[in-house]
Amino acid sequence: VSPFAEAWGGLSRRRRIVVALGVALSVWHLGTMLTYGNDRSREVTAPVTGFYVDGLRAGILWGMFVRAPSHTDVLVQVERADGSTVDVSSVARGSFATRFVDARLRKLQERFNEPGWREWLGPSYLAWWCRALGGVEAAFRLDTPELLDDAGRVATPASREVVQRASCR
Amino acid sequence: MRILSDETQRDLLGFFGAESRGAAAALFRVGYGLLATWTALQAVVNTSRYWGPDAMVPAAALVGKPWAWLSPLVGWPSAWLAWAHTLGFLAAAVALTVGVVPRMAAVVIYLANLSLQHRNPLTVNGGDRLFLVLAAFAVFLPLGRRLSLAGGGSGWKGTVWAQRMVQLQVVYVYLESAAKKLSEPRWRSGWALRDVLASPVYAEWPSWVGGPLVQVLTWGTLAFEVGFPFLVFSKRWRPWALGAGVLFHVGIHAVMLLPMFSAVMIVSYALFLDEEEAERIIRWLRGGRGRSARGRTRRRRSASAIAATPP
Repeated sequence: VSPFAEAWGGLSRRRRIVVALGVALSVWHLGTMLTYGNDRSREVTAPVTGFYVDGLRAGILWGMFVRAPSHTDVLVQVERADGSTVDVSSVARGSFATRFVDARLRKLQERFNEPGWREWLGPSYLAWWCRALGGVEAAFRLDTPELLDDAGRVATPASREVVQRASCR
Repeated sequence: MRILSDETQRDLLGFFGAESRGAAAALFRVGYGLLATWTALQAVVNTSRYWGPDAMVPAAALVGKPWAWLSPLVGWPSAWLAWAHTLGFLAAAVALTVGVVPRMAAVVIYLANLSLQHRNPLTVNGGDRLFLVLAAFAVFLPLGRRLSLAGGGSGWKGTVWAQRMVQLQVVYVYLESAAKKLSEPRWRSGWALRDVLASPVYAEWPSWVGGPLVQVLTWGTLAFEVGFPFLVFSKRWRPWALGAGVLFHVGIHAVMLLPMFSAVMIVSYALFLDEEEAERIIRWLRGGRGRSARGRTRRRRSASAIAATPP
């Protein structure tokens, strides 16, 4: 008698069901985990595993900073009726309270570095900041500092660009 | 024909089927509960702007997106429903921390976060996904047997299976990350972290680190991610692997602006401890409390002795 058969034989009917479900979930989860990490296998298995890995969010993709990260800070620039402007940076720096509240703002606002995202959600996002800060006009501004090469020479000069404006009225 | 030898079968049975006394699960529960409480407080203060009916990302923009229907907040955007999500998450996080109906609390944390993530997927990063996976597996852990206000869920006859699943998930995170990094010339040459540490979007103090330091940091990251999955399963090397992991993630947390990721990885480390190691930590925690309680009693006694001494 094999060790599996021996262990199985010693279980009650209820425990057998529990163990069978546990084994099935293990095989399923480990299988989806392995196929989700690769672009090609993810595409092939998506019709079967999509609900589990993306719907129930049980799949995780890792490899942050495999490619060089963005150096562009996406700011929302809100102009008020009195002519003053308020800049909302994607990066939560400053007081403890600001960091606590705005910890997740970067992830959201950084996406507006891409034209597709700005087109899709940009107007409603700018409108939200208009309401929140009592502005008359809002815009996305992309700030990129000077970029150096590995020898320490300037590869790309610093830049600042306003890419989308929206009236708050 | 047997697919697996008797020895392999015994190893698998021992690996997944050993009985759990719940010590490692209790340490994980407290750590995860504290992290969940912190995360829930951040969610509560952002309820309206991230998930309410007038949120930064309108619910209407998500209708029809894959799996968005899994969040009631997409179909029925309302302020009270958004508050029910975040306050329910907070209540469950506190209950989990103190060990009151902990497995039910893990279910609530999972469901509330699943819905919040589908309502506003734009604020979510990889750490949040792992946070969710851990909540799902926590439901199958003996969370309430130790360090619990409810007094230790009696009658648990479970195994370490869910603990092993979390372990495999975490080591896979490192292996996948290392494999992808090793495929990039910039990582292999040791210069990749120069770009990362200079990014004003991700780095706490953006600066162009040069020379051997950046290569030590880059190759050190690769060495850790490749070595951890193998060393952590050895009883002899486990303290070193976990210690290096804590340093690695504390370092990331200190120099990078990445919420959740480092904390959730460190919290998951409790489930790499075997029962004996976890018991030793619990005894140490209790001993610390016991010592201070004994110290207070001694001080009270000496104070009453002094008060009782006639002038």
